[in-house]
Amino acid sequence: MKVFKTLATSGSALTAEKLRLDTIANNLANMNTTRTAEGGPYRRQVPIFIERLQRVGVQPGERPPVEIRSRARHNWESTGVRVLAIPQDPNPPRIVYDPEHPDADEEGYVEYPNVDMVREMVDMITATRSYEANVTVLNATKNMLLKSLEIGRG
Amino acid sequence: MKVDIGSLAAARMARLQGGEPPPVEQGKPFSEVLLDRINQLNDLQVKANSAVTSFVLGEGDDLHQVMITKEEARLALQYAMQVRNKVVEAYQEISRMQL
Repeated sequence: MKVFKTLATSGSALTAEKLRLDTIANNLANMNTTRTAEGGPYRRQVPIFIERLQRVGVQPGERPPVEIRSRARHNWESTGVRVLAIPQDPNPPRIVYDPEHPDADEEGYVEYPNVDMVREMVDMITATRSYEANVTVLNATKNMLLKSLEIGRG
Repeated sequence: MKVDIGSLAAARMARLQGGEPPPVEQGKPFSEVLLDRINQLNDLQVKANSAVTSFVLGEGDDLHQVMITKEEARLALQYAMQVRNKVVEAYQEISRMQL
């Protein structure tokens, strides 16, 4: 139903921020992981968000009518956010001298993941606050809808 | 919901002025529209219910999606209640009419 479009928009943002928190949790959990399936140390993952577009006046899952099937921008409206991909951070790994480590190279250096704890913490605060902001929007929308039911009462 | 008062008035005006009345639009009867909406409302409730069930069973959506679905169902129900109140009010108003 069209009334609930704002709720769906905020909902997509909640899903996105939750995923951001998931990747941060994964990054922090693998802060000292020196072995991965593709070889080498773990690499920091960063989700990339993209605007979620929907054809104007067409419900999700519904086939759009012929006249608005073109890709022109005015046929699309923004309905929140979605996750495009979760690429790896290309920064080089952290090199630590530790000859005792089983994954050390011939010179005794170990490649640790390029995860910076301080940075992850800051990202975590951003994700949490964004989530809260979207919950606030959601509640404001709900209150607005409920308020409209009071029109004409009393 | 389609109310044809506008087109009825237009037809009446045309008849008064001696012209050809424009055809009155035949919309869906109110009872059908109401039934459609009630079915939609039921769908939302069922959706909310299954969202909760699948969440409790440990499968399916995130918690916030469950909450949003529940909230949607609640709002839809309250809207429906408001519509019902208005209908009952109108009925009572008419039944109290002095004849």
